Amino acid sequence: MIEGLLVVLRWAGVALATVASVAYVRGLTTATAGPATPSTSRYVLGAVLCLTGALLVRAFELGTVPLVTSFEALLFYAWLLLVVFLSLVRPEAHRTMGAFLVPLATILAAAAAAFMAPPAPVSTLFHNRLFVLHAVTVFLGYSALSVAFCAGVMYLLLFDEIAHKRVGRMFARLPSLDDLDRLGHRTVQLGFVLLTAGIVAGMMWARLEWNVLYVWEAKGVWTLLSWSVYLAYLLTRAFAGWQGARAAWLAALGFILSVGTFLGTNLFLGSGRHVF
Amino acid sequence: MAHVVIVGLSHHTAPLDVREKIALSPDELPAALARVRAHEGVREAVIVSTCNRSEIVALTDTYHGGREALAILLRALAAERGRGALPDEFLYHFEGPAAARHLFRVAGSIDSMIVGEPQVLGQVKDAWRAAADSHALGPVLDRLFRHAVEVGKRVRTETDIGAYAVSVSFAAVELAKKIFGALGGRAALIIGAGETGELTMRHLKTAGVTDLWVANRTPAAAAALAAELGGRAIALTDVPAALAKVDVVVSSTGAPEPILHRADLERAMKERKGRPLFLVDIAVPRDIEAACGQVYNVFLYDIDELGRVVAGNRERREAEAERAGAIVGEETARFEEWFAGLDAVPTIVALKAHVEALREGETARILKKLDHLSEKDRATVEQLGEALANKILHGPVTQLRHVGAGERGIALAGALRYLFKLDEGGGAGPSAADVAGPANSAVPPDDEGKSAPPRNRT
Repeated sequence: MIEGLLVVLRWAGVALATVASVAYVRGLTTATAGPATPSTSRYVLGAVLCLTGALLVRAFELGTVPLVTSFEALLFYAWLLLVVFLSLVRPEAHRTMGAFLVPLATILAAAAAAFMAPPAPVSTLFHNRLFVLHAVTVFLGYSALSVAFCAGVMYLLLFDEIAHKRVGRMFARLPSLDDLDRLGHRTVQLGFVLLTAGIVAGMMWARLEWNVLYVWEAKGVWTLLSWSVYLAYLLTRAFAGWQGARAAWLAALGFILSVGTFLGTNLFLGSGRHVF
Repeated sequence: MAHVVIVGLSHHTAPLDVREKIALSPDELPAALARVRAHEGVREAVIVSTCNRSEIVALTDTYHGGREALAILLRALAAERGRGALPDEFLYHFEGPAAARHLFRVAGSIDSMIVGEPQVLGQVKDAWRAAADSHALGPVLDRLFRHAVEVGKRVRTETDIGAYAVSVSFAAVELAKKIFGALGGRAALIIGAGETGELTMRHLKTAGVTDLWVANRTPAAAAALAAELGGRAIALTDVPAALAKVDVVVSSTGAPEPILHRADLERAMKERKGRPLFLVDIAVPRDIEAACGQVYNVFLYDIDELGRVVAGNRERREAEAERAGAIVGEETARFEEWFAGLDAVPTIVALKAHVEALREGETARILKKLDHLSEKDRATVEQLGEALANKILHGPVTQLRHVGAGERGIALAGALRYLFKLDEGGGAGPSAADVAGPANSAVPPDDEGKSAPPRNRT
């Protein structure tokens, strides 16, 4: 019964997000005032409400934050992206940002909805507050870094047109290079702080549970690698004048590494503390 | 049925020396409108006159008569202004749906010399207002112009027709905006004194650039331009150092060799800590070495590259104009529906008057024969006639109102008129709307009305 409700809620969320994605992408590739009207963000809101319901049901089932299995985490993350989109992106920028951020969230939510399984008994490990802090902060960080990724992709698309003197669709529709660059910078700063805090919380949790300083398994190593890419982003930007295209590439690389780490460790590694 | 007729000339049909002679200033419009209105058969008139077009839009009783009247007026204007005879091929004319379509295309800036230019919508509004002020406007043209302004707005919001810069100087400003976002607080430097360079600087200033620098081989020329722009003059030798401080450089000197080299840019970018720099080189031969564009975060456009941007933008505007054409098509149909709907009203009035006349006549005839009836019974006979007339009218009247505008409405109204012989005097009532002419038939779908070539010349 409760599983049925969960299925309905998450697929309704995915369906609404898909409608919004199609409208935003069409808005970017076709007319100026195409299908992506203010009403499109209502579909996003609808998707957020459905996914909120699904996550609450799952949290109720688990008795802790719904970040225990990877597909719950993925759904939580997709939900977070949509929340960030609705709350942090200016309405004027919805049409352009929406064409990048909402489809990304939709794909992730669909993957999560397809593979989410009924909850297994939860280890008491996950009732620890440090775990909750670790998982929530890391995911908040990744949502900021996803915005940085989208800003970076948009920057590179626009940069390609301007630098190669082929001004066209992106030129007419995207915000300026400066706006995208600054959005990327701000979100990397925020994401980096959250990611760092999340890693520290994880280290404290690991010390408490297993008495180790750092979990040196694949996920820990790869996470540290993407963390250093973001560190490089901030350092090269501050000291070597790497704003603009190079920064956008680093933001994209960092994000791809993060997603790869998340999916890779869960899909290809059989065991370990981070496999979930 | 009255006709909307447009006769005019524009950059599509007439050379500049003709257009400039005929163009009417706002002060001259009232007199000209009065002349158009004074012409027999002209019910309403609006004159749209800009530097690229002069056209008279009128509601006339007959199409050919109206067209002739308007052409005669334009010719008279030309003659008075020393243009002599106006050859037929300079004039175009539109009627009915084609006229509405033409006006909508004008308001949507599809018909403009520079497709998508923003001024024409304001000019159409001005023409509308001037006609209203001169009492030359009636319900039909008022509605037509209101509709045209709506179409113009729709085209601008729903297509990208005005989104792409189509001059070199504007293209440079658009690029600067796409690189830096809002230009407020940014600094720009102009080197040399080419005309396009100056124009670009003025556009940059309008776009919000507050800090303007001017460098020139002759210090006096630099000082003069700086004073004009409200900026500051610097020596040519100070330009490399200035590169660290400004965001946009517009160069248009007559120097035979490049004056900015890659090394200058590398030095400047180090000092700028990577902040982007936009170089616009509109000089021929070039002022800025091409290799400067390879320095990280330096964006360099030369005159050919800007020219290509402009050419691409023109094509894009043409493509958008096609999409705008679809909007115009839709709106033309909407206007026609409204216009044709005007015809149902006089038909209904005429039918009612016809039946009423029959009822009155027949009741009187019958009552005369039945003079033995009591007062009460006479009233009953009257009531019978009234009830019968109302029952008979109820069906056709409500149906005709229901069908309303559109081809079917016109056909039904025509059938009623034919079957009840409403057009043969006698029964026809007063015309309901000031706009509906002698009710002969609906808009004749003649060639010009239907196929509507966008620019058919007389």
